[in-house]
Amino acid sequence: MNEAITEIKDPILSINNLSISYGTNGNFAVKDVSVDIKKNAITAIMGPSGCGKSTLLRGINRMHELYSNTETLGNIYLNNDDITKINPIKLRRKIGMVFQRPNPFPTMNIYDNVIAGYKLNGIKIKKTKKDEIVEQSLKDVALWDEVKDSLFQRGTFLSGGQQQRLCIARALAYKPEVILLDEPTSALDPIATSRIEDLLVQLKENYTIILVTHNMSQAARISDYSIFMYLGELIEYGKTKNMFTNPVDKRTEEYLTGKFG
Amino acid sequence: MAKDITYRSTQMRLNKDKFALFLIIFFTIITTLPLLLIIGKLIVKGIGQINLDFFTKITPNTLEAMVALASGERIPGGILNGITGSLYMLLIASAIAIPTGILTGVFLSENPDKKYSNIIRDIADVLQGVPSIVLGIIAYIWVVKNITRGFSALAGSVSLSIMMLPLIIRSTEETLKMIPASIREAGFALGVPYHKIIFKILLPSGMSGLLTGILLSISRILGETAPLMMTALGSSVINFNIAKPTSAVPLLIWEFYNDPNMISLIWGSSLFLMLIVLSLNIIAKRIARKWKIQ
Amino acid sequence: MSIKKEEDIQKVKKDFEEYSNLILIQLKFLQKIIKSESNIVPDDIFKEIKKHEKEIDKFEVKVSEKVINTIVLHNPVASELRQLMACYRMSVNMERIGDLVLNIVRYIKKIEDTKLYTDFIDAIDNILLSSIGMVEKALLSFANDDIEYAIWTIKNEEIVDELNHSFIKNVIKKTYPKEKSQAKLSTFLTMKSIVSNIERIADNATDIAEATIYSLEGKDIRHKSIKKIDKEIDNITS
Repeated sequence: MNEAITEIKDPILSINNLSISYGTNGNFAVKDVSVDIKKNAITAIMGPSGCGKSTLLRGINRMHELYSNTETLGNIYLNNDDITKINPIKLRRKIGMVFQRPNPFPTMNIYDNVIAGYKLNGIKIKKTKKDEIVEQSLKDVALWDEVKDSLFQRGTFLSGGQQQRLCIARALAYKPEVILLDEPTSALDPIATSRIEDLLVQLKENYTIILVTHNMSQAARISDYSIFMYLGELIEYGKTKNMFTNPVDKRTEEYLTGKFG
Repeated sequence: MAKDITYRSTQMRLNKDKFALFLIIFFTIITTLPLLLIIGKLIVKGIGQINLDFFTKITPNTLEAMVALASGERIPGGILNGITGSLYMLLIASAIAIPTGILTGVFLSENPDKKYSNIIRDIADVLQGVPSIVLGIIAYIWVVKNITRGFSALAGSVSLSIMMLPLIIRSTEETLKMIPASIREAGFALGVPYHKIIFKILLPSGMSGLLTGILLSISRILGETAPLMMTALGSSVINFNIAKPTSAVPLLIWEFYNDPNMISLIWGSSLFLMLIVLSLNIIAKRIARKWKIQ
Repeated sequence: MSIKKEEDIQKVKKDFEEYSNLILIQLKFLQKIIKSESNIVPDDIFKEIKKHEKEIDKFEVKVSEKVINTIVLHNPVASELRQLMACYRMSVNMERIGDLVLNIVRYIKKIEDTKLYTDFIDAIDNILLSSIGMVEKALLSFANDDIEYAIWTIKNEEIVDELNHSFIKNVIKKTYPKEKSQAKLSTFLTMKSIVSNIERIADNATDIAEATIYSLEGKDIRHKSIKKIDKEIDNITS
């Protein structure tokens, strides 16, 4: 739908003229953003603090609506379905999210954390199917070997990087189509960061990944497409390698060479 | 010369240190001494009265006591009616205060800035400060006069529940506030509806804080006497009828005190009450420590 | 925003500027020698040229190393990266120009038939002038971020090619088959080598201009046909 901007055919997500504001003073955190997201690719959203990238991300699975007084204009289509017409609970089954601080549920053990999506929503599945899902999800995030003997302990003994991978496993267990990640490695050390980056590159084969990052090297390392936002607007969008060697907009150029941000 | 001076000033500082330490220990002893003395006296005078009868028989009447005193025997009976009465009213008060308190605490933590929230918080604080005897009077008017038309366990329970509320509300709110927002976000991101997030994620996560609040509020009301005097009144028999008067351990202590024949019984019952309250406090602190969220 | 990065990039550009000036000085020497219309090269000038040549070699290594270090340490992107890569490419071309100047001077010393030489000295001077002009404009275009000069240099390559071809035709016309003296033949070959080398200087100037265009516009127009280059240039200027 935004082929003029993105040249992507059959995008999995199409964002059209999206504007989001919080609060009563009418300041829009996201201003008239239109972009398409390619399926089974990693798209990075980057920009200086306060540019609206987190808001944009949360607009995709309607998490921004949890705050009162939000106003949303424009629309987003997931596989040609208007997301405002889908029940938010169903929507969040198709679009999973991982946050900046690893947040496994503290009162549940590792096993229950992985299938928390099913458990908390009261979805009944046979024990064998549950075991299968837990094992597969933990294997997908390369955590199975490390925790398979302590599945029924609480996850608090895991390191930060392992906890974050557990959260990714929890999102994967729900079998979404799209995974949103909001600065997933900014609270982790470099080695844990690197493992998660490798994981995301592997996952993109089966999932569409959208990643907000304030670290442009991370965007350069793993993303296929990049979106640059500034003061709520979408300034530039393109293939990462092109944007990093030859950005079109002067503001993108300045951001990449460290003139601001 | 220089070495001398530094040595002297170091010595002075060390001496000041020792003196300060001495003062701290001294005042600590002064503060804790009364408690230790009380417990000591209770144990000495009351331990002899605590036996199986203590827990299984109801209070003697004043005649039996007089007879026993005259013949130099132990006063017969126990405080079973007080124990059952306290427990019974505790159960009803909890049934009223715990759900209400927790739900209110949840409301306050989820809507911290709304106008209503501030009003409710202020009311809870005021309630905390209301003298317990005044709460007794209120319960007297509401329940004794208008509902049960007579002293009753219900009235006692109502006054006790009002005393429990502020503590439970406060501890629930504070506990839930300490749960990181990311836990809630994680729940929403999995498509969990709001009410399930509260009951299946937030409350279990805050269970330790909630339990602490509940235990502390229970330990508070177990010792309350004044409101019960004008609501539950007291009874010499075991009573499980909510509309009739009932006994309670602190009420019994008061009755024993006022009866010259049974005055010696105050020690055993006070010791019992004190031990229960102390244990509840210790357990509450243990839970809070063990289950702290990282 | 990173002070160290800015400083290091500036250092590279400063070295590159010094390096460019050295090349231009060598070309000026060459021009002087040609204008003297003699095949005798004064010793002191020859010594100077050789001395500069050593410095030029050092500069090539220095600039390349500094570029690599800056990239490794600071991970530049976008225009900063392109500038550095352009410097890297151009320093190779400039070293070649230095070599070519020295070669030409050595060839001049080998001229045997001085009359033949003076007959064609004007033509040689003409081609040299064009080539030096191209080098100057190409280097200037990088120093001033001026794409017009780079475009001019690229378009001017055709002219130098033409001059090269017509020179060879004229020399053949004049010398063949009338006389077959040894001196004339060797002089002819030497003059052809001189002019070929001058033409190669022009080629390197074109490469430098292409690197400038890459730095400024992010388009790599190396190895494209003239038609395609024209199209790209039109895209840039429109």
